[in-house]
Amino acid sequence: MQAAHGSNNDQAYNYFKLNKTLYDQIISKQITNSGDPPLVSVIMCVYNTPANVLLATINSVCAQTYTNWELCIVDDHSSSTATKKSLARFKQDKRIKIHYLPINGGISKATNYAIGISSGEFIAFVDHDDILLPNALMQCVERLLACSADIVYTDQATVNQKGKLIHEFRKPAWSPEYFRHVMYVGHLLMFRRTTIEATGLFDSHFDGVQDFEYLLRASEKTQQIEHIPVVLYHWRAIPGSLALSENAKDNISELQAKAVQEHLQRLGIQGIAAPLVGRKHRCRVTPNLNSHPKVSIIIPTKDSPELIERCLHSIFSITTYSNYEVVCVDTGSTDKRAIAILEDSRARLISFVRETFNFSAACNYGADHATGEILIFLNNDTEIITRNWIEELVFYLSIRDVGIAGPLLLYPNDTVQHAGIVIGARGTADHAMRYFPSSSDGYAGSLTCPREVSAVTGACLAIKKNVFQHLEGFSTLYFTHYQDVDLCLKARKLGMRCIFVASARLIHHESLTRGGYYDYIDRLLFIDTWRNSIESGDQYYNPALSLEKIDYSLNVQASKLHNYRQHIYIVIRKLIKKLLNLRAR
Amino acid sequence: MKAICIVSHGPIDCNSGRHIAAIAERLVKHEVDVTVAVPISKPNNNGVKHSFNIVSLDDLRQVRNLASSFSLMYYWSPRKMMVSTHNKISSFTEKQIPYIVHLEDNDLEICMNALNISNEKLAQASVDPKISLNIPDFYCDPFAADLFLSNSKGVTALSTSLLKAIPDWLPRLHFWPAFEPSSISVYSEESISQLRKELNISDEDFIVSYTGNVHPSNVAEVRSLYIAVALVNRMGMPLKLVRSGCDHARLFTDEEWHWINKHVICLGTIDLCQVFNIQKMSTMLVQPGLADTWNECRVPSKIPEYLASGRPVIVPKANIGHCLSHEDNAICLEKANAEQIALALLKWLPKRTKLNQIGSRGACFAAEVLNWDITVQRLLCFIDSI
Repeated sequence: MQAAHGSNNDQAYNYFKLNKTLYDQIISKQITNSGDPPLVSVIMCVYNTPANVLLATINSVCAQTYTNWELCIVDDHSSSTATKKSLARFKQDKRIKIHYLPINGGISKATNYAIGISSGEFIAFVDHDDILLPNALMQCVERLLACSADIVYTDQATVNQKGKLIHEFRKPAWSPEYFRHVMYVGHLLMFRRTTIEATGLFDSHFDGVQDFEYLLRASEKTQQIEHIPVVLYHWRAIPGSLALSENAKDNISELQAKAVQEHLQRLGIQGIAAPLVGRKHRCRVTPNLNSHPKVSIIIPTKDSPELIERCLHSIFSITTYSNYEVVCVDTGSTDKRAIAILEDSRARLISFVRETFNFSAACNYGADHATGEILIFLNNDTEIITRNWIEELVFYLSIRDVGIAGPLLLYPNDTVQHAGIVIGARGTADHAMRYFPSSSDGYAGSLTCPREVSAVTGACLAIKKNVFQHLEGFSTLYFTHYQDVDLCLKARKLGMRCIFVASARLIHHESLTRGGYYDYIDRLLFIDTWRNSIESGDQYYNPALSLEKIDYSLNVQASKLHNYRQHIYIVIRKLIKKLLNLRAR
Repeated sequence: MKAICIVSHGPIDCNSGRHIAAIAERLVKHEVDVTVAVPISKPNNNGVKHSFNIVSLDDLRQVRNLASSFSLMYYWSPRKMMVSTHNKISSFTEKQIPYIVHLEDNDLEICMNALNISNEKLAQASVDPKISLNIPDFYCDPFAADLFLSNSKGVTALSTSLLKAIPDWLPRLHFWPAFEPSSISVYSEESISQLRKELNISDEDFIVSYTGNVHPSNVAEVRSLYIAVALVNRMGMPLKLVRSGCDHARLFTDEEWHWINKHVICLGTIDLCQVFNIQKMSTMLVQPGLADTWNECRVPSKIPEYLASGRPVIVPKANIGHCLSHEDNAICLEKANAEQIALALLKWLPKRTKLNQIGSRGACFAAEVLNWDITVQRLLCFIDSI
């Protein structure tokens, strides 16, 4: 899905082929810095845009370090003379094409018109009130070339009308599941023209969420979607903009849900999309399963009668899913009450007693005796909250490339115990958003909506049985910790996604059964096996975010850059003002 | 008669120096006049007698008659010191002396890691001449190296992956590093038994050994071996790790070491003959490492010795691992990290008979393929062809 541009200089830079990533970066820089870099068409639609806003946006395009661009502006029949006057200032600039539509057709029609008049190999969509940072186009083109990607998006910062930075939104790598529920990708989007041609045009029925709907369709054509973890545009909080108020536009949530529903239907995913109640601009996909594969819930357990009794009682009394079995793996109970509870319950009881406790081996033994197509490994110190927890997990596992799913786990005080695992946190891996209130939206919906994660906890881990068998189960080299993360990372290496399922909730009385014991050999093994993944960072947790706190706050370096950017933005605004005054004269 | 100058980046008794010496000695037997230039003021300080000449790099760069006497320069790596030596010589010799370059390591990655230069910075430097990388002589300036290699008459390399770094049209020769047969001493079973007793290793214990230094570029790999030994013991199999050599990089924190040290015997620096005794005493020998770009571009110099020792060897499927045959003359792992090494040890250590067969076949492989005599014959043909 890509068009070749130019050709590499075969006589130079051969030595850099020892590092393929570096070589690709060098070649892309050679292309973008050459006398004939690929043409980028920047597409912008305007409608009664305030003059100062419009001028600042256009000037930010003119100030790009990337030299070969054209700006295709389509005015959707603005009535404002100020808008028209602002546009007229640029009519002599050959790089800027300005077309005025005779009637107001809406943003999709205007965008399609702009695509029609563009001629670039790459097409960048920019909102009329966004400010591009000077390096935005350069970095996007370099990324598209270096990674052979079809689409690229970036981080963003929201600023107020005076230029003060309000907050930054640091996004994850391409996350299709998260995107179905949260319109997180944002505005600055650059596509290869061939991808636009394959996807088709914007759909007017979705005006208001047209870019979101378009990217849903594009993602059905390609998964070569790259994220640049750098703030490359500022979204201005102006009246009428969602950046200022999430109520600024009507009907957004409903349109969002409609777009997702049609998208699910095209993909054959058995879910029903609707706006998430109580949250703006969040979608909820409810499972609508045609089939109910058998689920085996595997619980390794030893003694702890209160824990296992509570756990089993909650499963049998609350769970609505009909086709499941519970397999209790007794790793050497001697407590009479615990033994009685296990023998009397509806669960199937198997014995697995070894000289040294090995959680992995116990789970694998349980899996060998399980008859379900889907396995759910469950700690005995958990309790079910959500009645349809299994339906929610099975729904995500029904998606072809999803291998593992894990629910939201809460402490008894209703704060978060597990909402996905971040690789590299505290040197190994740790839970994100620990102690967040369960009612929180999280970081841009990361707690209320499902999202891709690098791993989920083995305290409640659902996996397709064939994937588990292909991976040869949990590694028995791990005795106590990290076997769950290891399993998830191995599944991801196979191309499987791991999904945190926010809509399935359980209580987890964490580590009551294990106490404060920490096995260093498990830790060393984990770091040794996954050193490269740890060093390169968790693709679903932006590198600008703190790995110490794992609460989506900026790390120290990013905080300093944030403050620096505040200062620079104010300087840039003053310069733009001066430039505008000079043009006016 | 050919007169070749081999320019070394280190003294004659370092790993690379030993390779150069082995090649030089054999070239002399083929009636080639060989001089080796080394970057120290007293080039033959170790007192060993060689059949080739040894001069200092300073003399080579300054003495016109010396440089002009060679018909071919053979630069051992494209490091900055080699490029500057070539430039210096070119400035005062009447005719340009043709040169070939030897690649033995991923000098690009060594430079980037040692000097903390990111991909982004190097990529930017390719388009912005104002960016200065400040690379010292000992390392490779990749831009200078790129040009230096392209302008050579040909390239030799220890690994086929390194040959990706040169243009397609440039003549190239790949050869494996070999072992020096005279350095493999004769063992007796009695001396091996005695050594086990001295080290307090019981008859029930299996033994793996790592006989080499630890430095920043291999610390992660050696850690893998230590962790693997701890894992094997935790799974109930008694295994000792005998370690010789110095640590120039820290393997473990104090807390980690507390969990790891129970099954490790550290001997520090020992004599070469003791090194071979330890290798012979081992149930298996392990070269840890991943099958990644880094290991594809290098061949640890102990692998030929390990194979020649006749003990079964575990290697990653990288570089020479591609030429070995899994479960025939070696155990070749997709990744020789702690997990895979531990699983291999758990599987193979009890199979003594099979291990002995693998070890014998590994020694045959070493004798046939890792052979300096054959390598130098091929090198001479290569030089003649260019």
